[in-house]
Amino acid sequence: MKEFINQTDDSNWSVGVIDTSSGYSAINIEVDGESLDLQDWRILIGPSSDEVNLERGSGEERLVLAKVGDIWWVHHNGHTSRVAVVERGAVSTFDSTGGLTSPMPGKILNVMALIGEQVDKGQTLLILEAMKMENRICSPVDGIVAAIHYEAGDQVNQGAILIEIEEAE
Amino acid sequence: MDLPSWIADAPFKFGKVLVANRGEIACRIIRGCQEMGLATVAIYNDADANAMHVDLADESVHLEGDDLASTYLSANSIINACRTSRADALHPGYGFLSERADFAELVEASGIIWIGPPAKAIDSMGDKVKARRLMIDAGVPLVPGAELSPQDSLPGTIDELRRAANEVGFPILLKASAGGGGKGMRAVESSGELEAAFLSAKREALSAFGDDTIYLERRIVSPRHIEIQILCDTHGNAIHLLERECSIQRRHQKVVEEAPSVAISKDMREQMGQAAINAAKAVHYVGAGTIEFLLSGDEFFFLEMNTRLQVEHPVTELVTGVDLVQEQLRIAAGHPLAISQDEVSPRGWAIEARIYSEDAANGFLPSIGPIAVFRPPEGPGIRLDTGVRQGDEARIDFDPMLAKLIVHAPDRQRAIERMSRALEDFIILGVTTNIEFLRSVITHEKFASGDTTTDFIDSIWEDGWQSAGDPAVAVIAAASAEKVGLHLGVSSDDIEDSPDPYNPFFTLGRRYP
Repeated sequence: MKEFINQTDDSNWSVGVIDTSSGYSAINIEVDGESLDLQDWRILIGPSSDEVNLERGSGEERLVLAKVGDIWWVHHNGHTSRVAVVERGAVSTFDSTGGLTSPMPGKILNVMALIGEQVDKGQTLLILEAMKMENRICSPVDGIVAAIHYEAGDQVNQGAILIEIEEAE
Repeated sequence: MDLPSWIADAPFKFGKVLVANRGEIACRIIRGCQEMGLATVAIYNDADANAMHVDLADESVHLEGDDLASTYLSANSIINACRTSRADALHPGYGFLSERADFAELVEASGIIWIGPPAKAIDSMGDKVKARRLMIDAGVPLVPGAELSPQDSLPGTIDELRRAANEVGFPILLKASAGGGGKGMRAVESSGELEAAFLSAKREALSAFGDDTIYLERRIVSPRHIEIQILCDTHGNAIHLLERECSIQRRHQKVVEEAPSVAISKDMREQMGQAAINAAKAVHYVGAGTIEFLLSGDEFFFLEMNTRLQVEHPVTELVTGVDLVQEQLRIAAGHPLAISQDEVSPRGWAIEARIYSEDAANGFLPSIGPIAVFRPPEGPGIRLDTGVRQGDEARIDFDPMLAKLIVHAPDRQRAIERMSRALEDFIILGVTTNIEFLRSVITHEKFASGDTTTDFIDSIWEDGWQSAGDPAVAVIAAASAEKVGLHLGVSSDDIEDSPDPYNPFFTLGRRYP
């Protein structure tokens, strides 16, 4: 069974899809454990390999998709979303408990937090230099700094876990 | 080689232009040269072997090296590239070596025509501190500021910094003397933040420009950024090509630009235009250049002069009908300006949106990845200046700007509507871009009412910006696409060949003629 993570809001989806005579229908939809009824939606496959149509109610909307690695990129009405495909039971890198990963390769210029420190959402934790700019990496949540994996001067790869935050209850 | 007729009897003749740049600006310049009958040469490093600018140019020269310093920033390699390709003129574009006076000198000393301003003018304006002094003498209004006199110890430097800060008064903007593009610039609200901001600005300035001289300016709160495009020829003629407003910025980098500006009356335009011409004449400027001002109420202050073609030059081209790259070529050939000041008037409204590979929902962090889908908008009044195509990659090595989308319409309202539609239609998949964010800017009521100041983005999206996409739609589409194997190249055309007549795709395929 495959699960889907919408990376825009980090919502976790389980979707069963069946093909019907009028296109693909999604059934048994759960979002973060809650069931959702979207069974009157149909996905119709278009003539090119990167377009589908969504039929819901009386309207039909064109979507453009591309899969890169395990991520589906979906363009719909001017919005672009990333949906990650995760095999159930596999270790998910997306629902980690506050592990902040490096958004790109770069060099750590400054670490501005201490282990055990209480941090607020939006607080700058470290500064990463990439593309000749200093980028502030901020805490996504209120919480406690549980681990810091790098120090100033270190080179980091994209996706490296830089710092872990234990979210406040 | 026969020269095109426009240059055959010019004072300075050239027939082949080497474009010392990459990306969208290299493509734009190559096209301008080609239209005027000039041969073009591109340069490229390993990563750019298949880049668009290399494809567009008539020929190209590979630069050996692993980093920018030994390729796009290597004056000697580029001069050698001119020699091997027999290019007799060089256009630097923007960024890279475009505002390096020593490079301009080297190009001319090598017998190659430099399509840019004289080295002396670049030097005077490139050092922001020196430029401030010149502008005072030319009677151009300036933002209050202070220089730091050199000290021999760090504590001494910090004392000097505090002295200068008290003289200027908070809030303060720290700026790199060699600066541009927001690099080495820091806003400081109070004395507590001063030292850390200063050290950070110094570090960034040193790594970006190789010069860590910092000076202080009073930060004008909520100004508009207005700039005047100028053109000067070698015969002493100087004109201005109206204003551009570039107030919509994030992290001191422009995001949306327009021409003309709602804030500029005819009278104000004349005053600013004259100040800009005075500024250019003070440094004996030749070529295309831009004088940047801050506008606060009805007072304007000189910010800096950019001695090059600017990223946002297309909005001026659309409203004035003047091709700035082609004017640069004519001026470099020694021709007088083709138009006089009286012939310059605004025609309609133009807006430019810069398409960056960056995550607007995550502090505008640059993003990288393959450009799996690149489908730009089309239609009347739409111009796309791009340096990438589908199948290219957004890489970490370079600036995150992928392309510029520019629209032209009879008035501002219609330009906004056109830009909003164009952004909605613009599809880039595989790398995160700011396209949806740009649409949030363009369609915001404060933008519509012309209430645009440099703190526009920070004040509207104080807690950050979020995509308004419907998460369910994206997930259901992805789940269906995954199930059918859309990424494996399945389409209704393939399915039509299916032996199973009841396959749902058989009928679906016909729904899309």
